[in-house]
Formats: sequence, C-alpha cells, structure tokens
Amino acid sequence: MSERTNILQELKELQSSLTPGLVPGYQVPESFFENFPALMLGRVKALEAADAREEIETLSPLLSSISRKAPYSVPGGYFQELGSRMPKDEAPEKLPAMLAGLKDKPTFAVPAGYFENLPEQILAKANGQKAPVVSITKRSWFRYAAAAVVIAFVAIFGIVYQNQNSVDPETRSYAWVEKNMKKVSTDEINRFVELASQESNDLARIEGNDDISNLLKDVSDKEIQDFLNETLIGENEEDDLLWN
Amino acid sequence: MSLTTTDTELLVQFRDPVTKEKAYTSLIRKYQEKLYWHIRRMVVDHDDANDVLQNVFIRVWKGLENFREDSQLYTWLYRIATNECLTFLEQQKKRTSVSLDEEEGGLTHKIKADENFDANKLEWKLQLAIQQLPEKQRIVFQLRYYDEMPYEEMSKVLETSEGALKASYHHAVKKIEDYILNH
Repeated sequence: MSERTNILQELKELQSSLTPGLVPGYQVPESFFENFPALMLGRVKALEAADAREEIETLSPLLSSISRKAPYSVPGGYFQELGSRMPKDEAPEKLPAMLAGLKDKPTFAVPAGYFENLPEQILAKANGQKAPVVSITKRSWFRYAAAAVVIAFVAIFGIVYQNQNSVDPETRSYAWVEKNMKKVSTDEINRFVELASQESNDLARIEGNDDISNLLKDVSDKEIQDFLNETLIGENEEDDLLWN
Repeated sequence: MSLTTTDTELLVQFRDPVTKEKAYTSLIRKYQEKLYWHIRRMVVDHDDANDVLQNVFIRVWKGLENFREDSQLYTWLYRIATNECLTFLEQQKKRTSVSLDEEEGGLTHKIKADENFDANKLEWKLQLAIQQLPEKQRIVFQLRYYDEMPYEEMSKVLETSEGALKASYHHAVKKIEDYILNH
C-alpha cells in the first residue's frame, strides 16, 4: 500500500472533511464552475466595449433589453415650472400682503411744494448768511455742576478714608503700637530680644563687682535694712506705674 | 477636458451680472431632467427628489462662479447631485434609525407604494433589484446603465478609480440579473 492510500484510508476512518468526495463546510453554487469561463469572457469583452450600450449588451442581454425609461411618474408641468420656481439668491423674505400694501403709503404730511422749493432755499441761505458761530463758553452749566459734585465727592471720600487710617499715638497708643509693629520684621524683633537679654546679663555682672562691696563696707546692716524698707514701697508704686 | 461650447457660453453668461439669471435659467432647463432622474432613482419619492434637486441648484448658484473647469460641467453637477442624495439619505437614516444598507427596505417600500407599481413588469423589478445593491454600487450602476457616463467622468464624480468602478458595475449587473431571474 502506498503512503497516499494509507493516508486516505486513515482520513476516511476519521470522517475528515479533507477526504476527497466528502462535502466540505463551504457550498459552491450549482454549475458555478461550468459557467465561470463564459462569465469571465463576457467581462473581458465588456472591458473592451466601445461604450456603455455595447458593454451592457455583452454583460447582460436581459438588462440591455429593458427600457431605460424609469417607471416613476412625474407631476404634470413639473419641468416647465421648475426654472421659475427656483430661488435665485438669498432674496428678501416675501412680505405679507398687508405689509406689502402699506410699504409705499405716506404717513407724515409734508407742506405743499416743500421739496420743489428746498434746493433754492438752501442755496439762498448758503449765499446770504454767515456761518453761525458757536461760542465756546456757551456750554451747558449742568455739565460743570455735575463735574463739581463728582470732584467734591471724591475729595470728601479721600479725606475720610485718610482719617480712618491715621492713628494718634497719644490718644490711641495701643492702636498706634499695633499699627507700627506691623512694619517691623520678625528678625528685627528677635535681634532686639537677644540684645535685651545680653544687657541684663551685663547688669548681673556689674552687681557682683568688688567696687560695690567697698562702697558699702562703712554702712551698717540696720541702715541698709531701713534703706531697703523705704525703697521697697516706692518700687512697688513704680511697678504699678510701669505696668499700667 | 474642455467644456462644450454651450457650457462655456453658459459660464461666461453666468459670470456676467447682466446675464447671470438668464444663464442660470438656461442651465436649469438643460440639466434638470438628467439630474432629476439621477436623484429620483436614488431617493424614489418625487417630493424628496424635488427637495434634493432644488438643493443642488442652489449650490450651483452659489458655486458656479468658482467652477474650475477641470472637468465637464455635467460631471460637476452630477457630483453635487450625488453628494446631496447621500446627505439626504443619511439624514433620513438618522430620522428613522435605519442603517444606510438597510435603507433599501424603506425605499423598496416606497417603490411598491408608487401608484403605477406593477410587480410583474420588468422595469419595476429592475427598480426593486437596484435597491438591493449597496448604496455606492447603486450609484455606479445607475450612472453607467441609465446615464451611460464614461468611467473617466464617473471616476471624478465618485472619486474612485476607473478599475474599481468597472468591477463594481460588472458585479452590480450580475446581482441585478440574478434578482430579476429569481423573483
């Protein structure tokens, strides 16, 4: 047995669609291959046709025999009237009849002979009269008054605003300090505090100085105690003044 | 390709303000039926065809001044008409929520609703068969079969290669023939 026969036998046993003779998944129209050559011949002839008529005769004698006139009906006179019905441009909308009728009717009365005499009147005036002079001072007083009111309002508002912002240090010391402290930076405040603490340290060193001991060696303890009793009361009063 | 003498004269007259309207009217008279039937075969209904045809000529009024004359005038007119048809069908599709390829369902209905419709007559069967084609193939078939438009001109109308148009037309003929023979 040849290899080929073995393979075919195996495919048959498996009922595979690859087996010749078995119907595959895709169907081919009946007589497709019989008609195909003639179809292709017709197509290549149509490609070489001189015009559309010859082409359709080659491709389909059936279609070439059907009337080219479409069977649809057209309203009578349609083509005769089409040209006149076409809007030619963005024409203005048609006015309703009522408005169209009123368009040319005069409304206001004009003196008799007005338009006929007008050119001569104007000419006479132009020749006989000087040009009118418009005084520069003849202006509406109302405008000046309005301007003055606006200026006064702005000035008053400015003064009031300025007063509200200014602070007297004698009458409103706290507000004055608060306002001016805002101008001092944090670094400057810290530096001031550092300097102040250094000064207090310096004072502490001064108090431990030997010179003071020498000055007080001739003063009795009772005198020192009396002195301290007198100054203690006074210091308290001064503290009150400082903190208030 | 140069314009015909008549089309050249029409263009010259149209571009002259004095004779513009006269030229426009002449142009409408010359091409109205051809364009009408091209449109009517696409949209089927007369009222729809009338709307589309008028839209076409309005576009012509606005655009003819700038017509470049690199194709025949009627090619340009057909191109406008084809585009207006496609726009109209697209709008109809949106209104009725029907896909363009299913549009023939609605148009088939309109064909059958025509007062003169006769299912036994070959010319009516042809109209029904045409509606089975895809939209662009429908246009190709109608331009070639009814208007006998050269492929070179059709290529400019539809902006498709001549080879593709020929193939499309040949397929369309086959499909239509099969439809007529089987219905």
